[in-house]
Amino acid sequence: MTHFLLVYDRAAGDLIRKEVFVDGLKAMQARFRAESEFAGRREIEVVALDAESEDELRRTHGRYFLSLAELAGRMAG
Amino acid sequence: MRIAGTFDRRGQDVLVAQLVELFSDDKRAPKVVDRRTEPSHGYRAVHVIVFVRSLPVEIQIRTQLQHEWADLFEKLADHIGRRVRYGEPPDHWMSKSERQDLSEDRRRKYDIMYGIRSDVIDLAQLTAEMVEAYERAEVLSPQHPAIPAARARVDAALSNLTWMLQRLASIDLPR
Repeated sequence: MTHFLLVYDRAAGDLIRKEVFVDGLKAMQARFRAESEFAGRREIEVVALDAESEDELRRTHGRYFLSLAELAGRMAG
Repeated sequence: MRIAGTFDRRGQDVLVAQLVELFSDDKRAPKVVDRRTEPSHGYRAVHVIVFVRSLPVEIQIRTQLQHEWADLFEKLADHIGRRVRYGEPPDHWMSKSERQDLSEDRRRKYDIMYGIRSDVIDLAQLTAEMVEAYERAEVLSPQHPAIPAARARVDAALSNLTWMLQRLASIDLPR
């Protein structure tokens, strides 16, 4: 299992940070640091997620990775 | 945890039953929240809350169509206001006093644009209903000759919704 820290800008619809961890505890620590860093910015979403791979995470949590155009492409594909 | 797969509603039910069985040895029994029978503003899925050493863990199980709709609606909410996920109207991008200060022409443009935001929510809800109707029919009569055409209509509705969201995201908001 791979651990991911994602920082997503809802207003822009952009993923502004992605960090990958082997150790889940370190991912959670990074999450708390990021939450502190972006405290008060309501448009910023900080999440720590686990997945078998980044491809799998992109499939289950496409919103963080894909623009609307890419989402449309995924459906067409 | 989220599982989105290429199973139909029956497959979704089987997976739910397997998860309930798998986690039934904890002190607290798993809880199933069927958001297909009780959708949340268009959102449909089955959530299973299992307990691991009495700690709750939510597992979201979505069919591929339910997942595609949910992803689109989340993106829509990012653009027009996260509270639409709970049935509330889209966010305004100007305060009430700022809107009152607009010229008549600009206020009209503002109102049209805001109306489009509301219309896209309605479109998303209708699309969710189409997905639901299709998935029910797919399980009840999988061999019915109308099923492929119905699926094509659902795919077209999802594509139309995506196109609308792309347009919304690309238009400069009137100020």
